[in-house]
Amino acid sequence: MLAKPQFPTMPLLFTKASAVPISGLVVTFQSAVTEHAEAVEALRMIPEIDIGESAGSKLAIVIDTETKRRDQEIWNAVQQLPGVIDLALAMVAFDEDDQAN
Amino acid sequence: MDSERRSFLKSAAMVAAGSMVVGGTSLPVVQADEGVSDLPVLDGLSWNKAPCRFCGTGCHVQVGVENGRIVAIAGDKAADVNKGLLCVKGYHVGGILYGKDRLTKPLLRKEGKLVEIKWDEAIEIIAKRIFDSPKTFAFYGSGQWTIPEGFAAQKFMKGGLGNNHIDPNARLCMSSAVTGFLATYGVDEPAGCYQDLDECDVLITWGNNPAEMHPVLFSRVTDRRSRGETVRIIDIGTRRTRTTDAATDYLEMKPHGDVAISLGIMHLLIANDNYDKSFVAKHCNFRGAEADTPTLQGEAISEEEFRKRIAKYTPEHVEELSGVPAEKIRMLGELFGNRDIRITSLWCMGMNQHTMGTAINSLVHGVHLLSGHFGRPGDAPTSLTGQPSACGTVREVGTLAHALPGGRVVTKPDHRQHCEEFWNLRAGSINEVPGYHTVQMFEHFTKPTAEGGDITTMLVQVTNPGQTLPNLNALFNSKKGLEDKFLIVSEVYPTATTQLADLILPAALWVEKNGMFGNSERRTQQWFKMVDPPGEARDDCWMTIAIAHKLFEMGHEGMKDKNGEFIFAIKDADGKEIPIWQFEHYYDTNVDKHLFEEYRLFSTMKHKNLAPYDEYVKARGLRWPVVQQDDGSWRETRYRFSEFDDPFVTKGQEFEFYHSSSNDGRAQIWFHEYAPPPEIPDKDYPLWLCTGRVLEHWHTGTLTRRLSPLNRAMPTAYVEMNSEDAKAANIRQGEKVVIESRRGTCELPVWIDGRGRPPRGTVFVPFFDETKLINNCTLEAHDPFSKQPDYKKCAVRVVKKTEVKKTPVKVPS
Repeated sequence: MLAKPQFPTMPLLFTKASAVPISGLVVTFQSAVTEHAEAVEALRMIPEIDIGESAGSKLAIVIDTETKRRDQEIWNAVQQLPGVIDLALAMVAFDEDDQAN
Repeated sequence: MDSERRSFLKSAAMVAAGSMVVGGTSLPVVQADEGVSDLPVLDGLSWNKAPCRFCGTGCHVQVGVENGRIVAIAGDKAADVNKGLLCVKGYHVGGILYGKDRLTKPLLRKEGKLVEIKWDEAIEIIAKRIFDSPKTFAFYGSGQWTIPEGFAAQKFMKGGLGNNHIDPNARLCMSSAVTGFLATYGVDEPAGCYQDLDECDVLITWGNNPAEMHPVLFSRVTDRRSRGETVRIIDIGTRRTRTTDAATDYLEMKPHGDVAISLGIMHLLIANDNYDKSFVAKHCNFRGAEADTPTLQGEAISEEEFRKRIAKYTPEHVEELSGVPAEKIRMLGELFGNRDIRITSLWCMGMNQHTMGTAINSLVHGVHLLSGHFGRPGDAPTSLTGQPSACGTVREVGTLAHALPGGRVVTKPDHRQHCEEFWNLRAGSINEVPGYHTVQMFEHFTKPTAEGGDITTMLVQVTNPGQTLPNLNALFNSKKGLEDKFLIVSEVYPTATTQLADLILPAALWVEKNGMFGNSERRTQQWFKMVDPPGEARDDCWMTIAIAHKLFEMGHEGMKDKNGEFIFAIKDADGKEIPIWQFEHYYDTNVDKHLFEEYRLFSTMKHKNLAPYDEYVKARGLRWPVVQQDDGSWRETRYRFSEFDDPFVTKGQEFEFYHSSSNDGRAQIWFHEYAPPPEIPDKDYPLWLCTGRVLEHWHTGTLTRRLSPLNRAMPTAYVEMNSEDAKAANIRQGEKVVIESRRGTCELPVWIDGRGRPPRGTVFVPFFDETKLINNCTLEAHDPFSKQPDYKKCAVRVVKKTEVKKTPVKVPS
């Protein structure tokens, strides 16, 4: 389970980011998605997120960001939303430029 | 990426995610041999299946390749293990091939510098050293070896050289699980499967942290809760982790408390008279260790004797030993005494990296057997593995110093004979004396030859002992006085191990080669090569075969079979040998398939039957034993030893442990006396050190630290410290301290009240960071049967960096 992350209180290394992944993710809430309207609204407010269909406690989203760093920030932010108990990947696509780690 | 392509991929990502969501309360099921139709179709983009390269869960991915590079990763919906979903490491698995510092050419150390050489020269150097001194050669391998790689190494060493000095890094991670299974059931590996997680009412995690280490598996349980099911999670551990955050109950124990707790549960089952009398009477024996020279076989004891020995492990006594309150022990006893619920016990390194590893494994199996919580979905004692093929390669192919393929051992004449016959070797080719296990191997390699250090050449493949061995200062770190020793390392990136290598061989990684893995639930999985390795990197299996052929050319008798042919000879349809030892011809045929078809012959003795290679091409893995049906199809087995699913259980038996060490179809319920850890905190070293892993990094971080999002999320190792301990020592958040043990030191920043929360008197350090080698501090004491070292408990002190070389700061107990 990708539980809510708690980050070390130490400087993170920020490297120059390059072009980005597009990822399809499944957000799992503690209960039915309809009971988490605030969290869903918070997701809607993030411009890089497209909201997809929901069923039961699961919601499909797509994240499309300018940088890998922003992608990671959004992943972390989604995990920390109230009521979110899991975030899992269905698909990610990325560019060649992306891959020189 | 152009906008049209981007738009298309966004749509495809939404379809992929959406299809995971719809379908009511359960995830969609796609037959294993179906294509996955909702992946984007673009000119030049191909999709192929592979198991993830990381942990022992064995999630399947679909790998999108375009223009010879991986450009996309999707969870594989046709995979029963993960049903289309991946964790954060799986998300990034495609990127592991593309670190900037991939090794691409063989490198020989000359006068302290690494110089590029040709492969032919590298192979010749290795072969010559082996030819000149075959008995002092050792092969250190891995639970990340593919099955064919491990099998080739086995055949080369044990069959060809008659040398049993082959051992894997999995010795350090799950060999106690092996000995626990052998002692209990007479045969290795779990009886159940991941379905147990979908069916249990209670999940007990014994000293492991699946929320971080096997997240996709753990999410199967938490997902059930999100759908309204009640699943009680009981976390037994020495510190709070992310698993604790999801647990209903947290039982904090002292090191070795697990031994006491399991004895306490069994005591209560007997005292409350609610153990499963019928199951025990029909299917179990009681066992104890011999007084003089304990063995895995042990000796039979009566139920009366078992009752006598278990009598002292009252809840109160267990509380003294474990630190877990007596009422919690009673709670566990009541749970196990209730046969209306289903209980799965899950464990990994906490119980395996343990100087009583065999004992605690046996005891937890014993709890399940005594209580009858066994053999039906949801009732299971299950050990997980950390590496993708510790099961499939190390345990099943037997790449251990004492073992042979298919559950055989070198000490048994009939086992050696089987292997010699399968391999068409002369009788007597295989040495009957077990070789050095890992700690011994490195002890002998790092001891001067003149002092009896009789390993002089070592080949290391697919592992990083320079970071993972315990007590690194003793077992690895220095080359002084060892100038005649020669270390060959096959790797994909520079590591702590390549830093001391004399010869470095650049290796192909994951989908840069064909491969097969075997995961924690006995599932053998296959993939095809999808992209070329960079530069001159080559397959590890090819390296072994090339070395073997060079020795064959040099006239080494062991490289010839009984007919005088090369032991790895593969012929084409016309009967002509294919020169697979020349890399340009290695893929003229499917070497994996040839080796696997030879290997499967070995698998039936212990009823670990494997299907033909081509069945694994079609499937997202199959759980052995796999048997052929009347209609020609191949059927896997989810539950071993249970009549309802295991084809080898005699009809009418309900359960049959057909490899019983007592030869009567019964499993063994062991008694082991509690013993304290070998090194306990004292006034000089007042803290417990526990080491382990984190979600973002896989093992030594060789791959994951080169993935920038994962590295940013977790850039450095740290020492978790209890806030009260830190306050008492005047240590602040983020401050650099030195962890000191009797064996070495390690400098780390402190993290207080972070992700993991150790109790007072304990610190925790993850081992993924090659710049902070915590194994300088750990202890090489090991289990007497499995030889697995204990990385979870030794005595240290924490010294403020400014006070190093002064009197260390004492932390009040």
